Amino acid sequence: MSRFRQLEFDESFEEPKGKDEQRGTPVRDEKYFHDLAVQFWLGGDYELALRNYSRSLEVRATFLEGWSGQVRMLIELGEYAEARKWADKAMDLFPEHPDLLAAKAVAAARDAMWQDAMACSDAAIGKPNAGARVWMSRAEVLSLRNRAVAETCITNALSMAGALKPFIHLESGRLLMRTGNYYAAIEHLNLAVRLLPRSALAWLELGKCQMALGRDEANVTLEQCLRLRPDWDEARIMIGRPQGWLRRLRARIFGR
Amino acid sequence: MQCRQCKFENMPGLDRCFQCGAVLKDEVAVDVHPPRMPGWQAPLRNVGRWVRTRRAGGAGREQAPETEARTDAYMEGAEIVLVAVLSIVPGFGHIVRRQFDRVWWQVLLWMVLAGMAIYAYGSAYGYLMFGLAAGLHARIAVHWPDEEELRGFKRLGVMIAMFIVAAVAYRVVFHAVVDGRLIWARTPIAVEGRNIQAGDMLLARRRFDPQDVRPGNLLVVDLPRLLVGQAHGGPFVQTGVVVQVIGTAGDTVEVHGNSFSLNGSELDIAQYAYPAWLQGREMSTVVPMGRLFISAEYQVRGNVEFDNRIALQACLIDESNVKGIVFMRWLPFSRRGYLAE
Repeated sequence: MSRFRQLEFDESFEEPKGKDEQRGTPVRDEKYFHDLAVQFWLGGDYELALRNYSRSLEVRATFLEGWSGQVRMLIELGEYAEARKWADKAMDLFPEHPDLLAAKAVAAARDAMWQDAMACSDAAIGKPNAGARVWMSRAEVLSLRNRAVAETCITNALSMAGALKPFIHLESGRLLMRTGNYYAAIEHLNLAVRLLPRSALAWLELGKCQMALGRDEANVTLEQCLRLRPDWDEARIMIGRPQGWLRRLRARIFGR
Repeated sequence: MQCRQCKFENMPGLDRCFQCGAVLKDEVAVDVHPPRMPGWQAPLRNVGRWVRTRRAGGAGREQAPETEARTDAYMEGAEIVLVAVLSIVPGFGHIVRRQFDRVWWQVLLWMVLAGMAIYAYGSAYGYLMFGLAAGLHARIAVHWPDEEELRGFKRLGVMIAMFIVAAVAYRVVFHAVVDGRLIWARTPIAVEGRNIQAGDMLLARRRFDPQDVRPGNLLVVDLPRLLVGQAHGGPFVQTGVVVQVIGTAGDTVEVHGNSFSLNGSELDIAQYAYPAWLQGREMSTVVPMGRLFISAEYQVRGNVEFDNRIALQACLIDESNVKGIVFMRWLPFSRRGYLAE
């Protein structure tokens, strides 16, 4: 090829693609990084998921799922103030987008700022394009006040989830478990592991729920989680936790 | 150019949607890396979150709508009184109204305080713990989420009333459960061989077989007459005095100036306390039926003259005056323990 190096071509000539792309390696666009981030989230690695959401935005800064994903990962990491700040920043690009408002409502609710949470949730739910995530955030904001209404919100979220259904089941299970409704949570988590069998997060949450209910299969579930993600200390610690008869009895009586 | 967010058809060349303000072009110069929380802030934020949660009445229930379950409904005045009455048992009112989850940690703390008060009964710490337990009891009784009627001085008044009710209730319960079985008394006598010093608080049980009283036992008695009382010419009864048994009915007890002999054998002064007021006195007696020869630390005040007859009267008490038999050193804490037989 060296003897053609000095030849002149017009500007429309495009360089041939690299070896990797020629062999069918996926294009590293925003969707690629988004999918990667979702995989990391399902694996319980929120830090890497956040990083990949950021990379998706590096490719295309107006990628809405990237922004809302970043906010959700900040919430998962317990950085609620940052999540709210970042949701505000995302709303500079997407003013009053229901998904971002919903994520902000969740961040405020987890940070015990009930009025802010309620206001954001109200604003999100009033938008015409409010989707499943908006109803899930509504469920989270209301779950601590009125469990029955929260469960209706979860039902609404599931009815409009579409392709998000597995994630909504997982989120519903986690939410119900957080509010102490273990019996309802385990149904959603069972569906979640059936729909997302390779999600270590779903297995871990199911294991936690089973353990809280004093069920014997919790250890098997957590072992499955460790098979998917062997380095997850949280699961390893939970497996090592004693499962005495008193603990099981307490769990069966009090439901936790 | 159509907006991705609101689907509005914008004029070409616009950067943002005319209707909703969303960006229209993909090439936007914006920082896409979110800010991160410094690690040291996490515990501080947790504390702040906890405070906000508690201030809101726990888990965001401060604005519970009226349409919620009956358990969250607003309480009327008479109902507040009823619940306060039920709260004579801490948390019972909340259990009846299914709101125990709001006070469970306070009830737990109350149990700890009550336990500590019982453990330290008789000491200043014990009284402090009783006071704190009664205060917390009062707080539990008025701790309701919908207590708009109980604000300011009204709330303070109810709390003070509940404090008094709780303190009286504790006394009544203590009397009913404990006073019939046990007696606490401070000992004026020291018995070195049994690790008892003057001023120790001893615990005696009321129920015992009089046949079990042996020389060396410590008793809680009501002394029918004291030398100081006699000196002023009238009977004087002191209740709950700790004394030591030297001899029982039929025993011969001799007093040798600074020690006792029982049936001819001298008693170890480390095991049998010798009272100061008997110092230098010599006498002997056979203990009559139904009486006990005791070593008691009488408070002889002033220049009171008395002979051996009066001294013997002071040492011989009727068995019916015995209120309890000591079985435990209660205070100080460092020497708490059961007494060897």
